[in-house]
Amino acid sequence: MQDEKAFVLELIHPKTQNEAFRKLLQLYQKPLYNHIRGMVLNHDDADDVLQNTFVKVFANLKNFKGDSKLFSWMYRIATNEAITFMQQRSKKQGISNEEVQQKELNKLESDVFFDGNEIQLKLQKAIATLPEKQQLVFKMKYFEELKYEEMSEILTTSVGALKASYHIAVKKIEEYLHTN
Amino acid sequence: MNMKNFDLENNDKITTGFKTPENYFEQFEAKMMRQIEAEQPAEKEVKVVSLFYRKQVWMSSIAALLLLAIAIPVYFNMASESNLDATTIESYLAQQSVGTTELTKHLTDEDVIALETSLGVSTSESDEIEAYLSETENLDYILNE
Repeated sequence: MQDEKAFVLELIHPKTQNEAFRKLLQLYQKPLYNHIRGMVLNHDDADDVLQNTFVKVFANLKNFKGDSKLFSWMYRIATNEAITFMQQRSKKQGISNEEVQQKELNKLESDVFFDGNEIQLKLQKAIATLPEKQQLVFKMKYFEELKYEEMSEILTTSVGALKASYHIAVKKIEEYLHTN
Repeated sequence: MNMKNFDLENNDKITTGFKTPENYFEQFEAKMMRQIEAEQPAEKEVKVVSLFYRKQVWMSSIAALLLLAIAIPVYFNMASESNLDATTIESYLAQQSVGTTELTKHLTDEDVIALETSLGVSTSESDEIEAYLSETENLDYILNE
């Protein structure tokens, strides 16, 4: 991003706001969609959460202090929105978060917007066996290919802890794939 | 792929397999833009109402124009007529003795009632005053006092 401060000002100023927001959408809708989709698994839910995310981003831009990068701030909002979404679902259905995820995984095979083969499906199942935070770290590193420094800002966790978490996740997943 | 020697780090990358509907991001962008435009303050939205939409609008615009055509010259005439400065009024008042009779002429019933209330004179009292005054011979003299 060229000059982030100038861009944020454009996003706040009523005259430049619309064009700047369009630019923001074009830059971030895909990576944020992938991040959310990885968490909620099906397309329709990802669409809902992505929309909530951008509405929140738009409403809170004036409060954006610039303490972190715009990119990580938006990722944080997206992560929170996805977590809240899944929690609401589990509450509504009276089941645990893990059960919600399991249900979504089972639906994946017949999902028209999932063209994964056996190994891709197996990988998703392996990830689902990990603790929530480890899942997030693994997906952000392996699928989304974020840098540890970026992940550190988004998840407010040290780079060292993230590296450790990722390596444990990889080991567990490999083990799962060997035995299943 | 041989699962037995599975190595995530060194094997080919496994993608998520997630797809999106065709043109999803273009549509999402358009949808979000519409939504944020709708959330912006109302003053930015200018409602366009066609003047030719209804006959009524025509009639009232003509009426308004006529009213303006009459009102504007009248207003300016009156304004120029009443263009008196304070000294002129003062010297007029000094020369002309404006008596109570002259002032009361301009009072309406409402004004009288308002005066009565502000002076604290009740109706029964004012009846008495009136009775007294009518008995007095030189009414005009008293009123001018």
